[in-house]
Amino acid sequence: MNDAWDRALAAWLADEPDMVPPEALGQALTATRHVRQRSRLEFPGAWLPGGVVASGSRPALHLATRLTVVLLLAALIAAPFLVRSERRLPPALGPAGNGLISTTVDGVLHLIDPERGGATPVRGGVGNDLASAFSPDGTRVAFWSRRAAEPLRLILADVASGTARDITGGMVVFARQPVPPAWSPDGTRLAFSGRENGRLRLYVAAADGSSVEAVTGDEVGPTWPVWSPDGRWIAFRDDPEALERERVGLGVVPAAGGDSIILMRSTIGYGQHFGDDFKGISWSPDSQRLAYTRNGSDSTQELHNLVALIDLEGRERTLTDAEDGAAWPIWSPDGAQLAYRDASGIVVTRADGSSRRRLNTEGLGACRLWRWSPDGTGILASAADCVQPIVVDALGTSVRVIDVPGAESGTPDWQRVAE
Amino acid sequence: MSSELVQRAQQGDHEAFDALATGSYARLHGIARRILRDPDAAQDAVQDALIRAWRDLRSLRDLDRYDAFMHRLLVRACHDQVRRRRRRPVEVRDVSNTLVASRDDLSQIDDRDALERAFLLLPVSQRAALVLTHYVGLPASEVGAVLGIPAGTVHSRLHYGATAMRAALAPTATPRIAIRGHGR
Repeated sequence: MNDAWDRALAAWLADEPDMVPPEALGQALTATRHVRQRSRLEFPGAWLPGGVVASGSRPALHLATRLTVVLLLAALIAAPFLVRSERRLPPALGPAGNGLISTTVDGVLHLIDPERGGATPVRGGVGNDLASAFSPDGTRVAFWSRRAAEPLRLILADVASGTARDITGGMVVFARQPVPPAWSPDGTRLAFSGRENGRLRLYVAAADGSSVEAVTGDEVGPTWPVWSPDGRWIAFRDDPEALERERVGLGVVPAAGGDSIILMRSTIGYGQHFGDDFKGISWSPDSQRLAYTRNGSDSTQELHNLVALIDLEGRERTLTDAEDGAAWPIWSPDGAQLAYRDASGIVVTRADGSSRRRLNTEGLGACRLWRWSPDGTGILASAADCVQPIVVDALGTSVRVIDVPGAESGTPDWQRVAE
Repeated sequence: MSSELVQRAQQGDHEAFDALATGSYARLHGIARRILRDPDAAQDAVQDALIRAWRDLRSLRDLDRYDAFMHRLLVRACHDQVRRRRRRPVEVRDVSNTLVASRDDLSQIDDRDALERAFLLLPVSQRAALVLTHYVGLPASEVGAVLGIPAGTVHSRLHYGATAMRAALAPTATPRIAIRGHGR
């Protein structure tokens, strides 16, 4: 030991300004409110006899060791009768663990580990892989893929095994803009927008590839489908292609098929509407409301985007003013918060519009918000260039860049896994 | 008093945990600030540590060991911060004009930038050992309990950390380019 060096090092470490940001403690305490305490049973060291944990007496250790061995043997014997040999899956709804992030890199869908880095290509695409969506249980990922000048194909890949299949079969699918397919909450079906005889329709395909059926007719032009968490409805953007229906709208159709209901129409004509109107619709986790973007006028009658909520009775409540230019709202997994982007970046608010706070995107801005992380602590978005995927901390002030070369504009998604 | 707060917090009392966190926040932030040398990363590390402390508080058997429990979680959070920030774009700084004299006495070295760079060249495990020993003032046995290593290993990390810093502060014949983080 070099005493002089040690003293000097201690002095250097002590000579450091200690300035704690005034809001830091409050943010940290708020963050703990969203976390569940683990029970004592999850920590064997906390309830096993004390001699096992400490360097206790030999007789106590001996007894504790025998007890532990007996318990383990009993568990091994009982396990085949009590526990099915299936991997743990996340809960069907609500918060879950954070898995992999899917995004297109150099035309191929990749799965990226946001914690450790590394990107794994997904096999099964036929050319250029586009918008992707994980199944609610995180075991599969569906994505559009196409060769040049050919129809889109909906590919379903198993995350663990890598096996993939085309579930649209021989169906000719043309869509003006590939958007992610919408999974049913039970993971057995997928909804997507396609074109038949020149008209847009909403289709539901069985995840095993056994069937594809249209659930809408000529009355609507559905795009951007989103399945309600309770499985009963599919919301969509109604794209007016017939001149008699010239305004974009927000609609819902029973998932089993039936009459569509248009809940809201844009206030301006088709030729004038903003591109983000009614895209990226987000269901509240209780399936009672939809969050969406539509255009609105400010005090000078100039048009801007705004964010609004609507229930299934068509009762709307705007969450932002037109001057804010807000768009792309997404609901948190627990339904307590909403996030949206405005001209300055990302804002998080409680579902009733209170307690708004701005998130730090470190100058990267935000173009589109795609989803909250399954555990509700982050937000997956595209940076202001609408290409670079970023993960923004929803509780603190940090942002991580998913730094993959050749990342393309598209629709990333975040896998739900068991915690 | 602290043990009572820990016990109440273990039973789900948020106010008790808030009191514990409030009483220790500045100290934890100071430790993280010195390990990470980055105020933003330090703030994130302390928040992560407090979240994990609340989540795993019932794993703590000895209520009087709350401080050691928090130090352990804080060091882990510092490790995580360094790993996350490694994936940021490369930051290259040319230090060719800041050669330092070869001295053992830090007080004679005026260039705090050089000290900073030398410290940041160390792995987090060595930085944590140095900070817990020379700033927090813990004995090797306590540092070992926090880091989960024997006291002898603590001495090794202190020795190698100090040696590495002194070597980094020595003058070199040719200019060096310090690289922080990694490229793609």
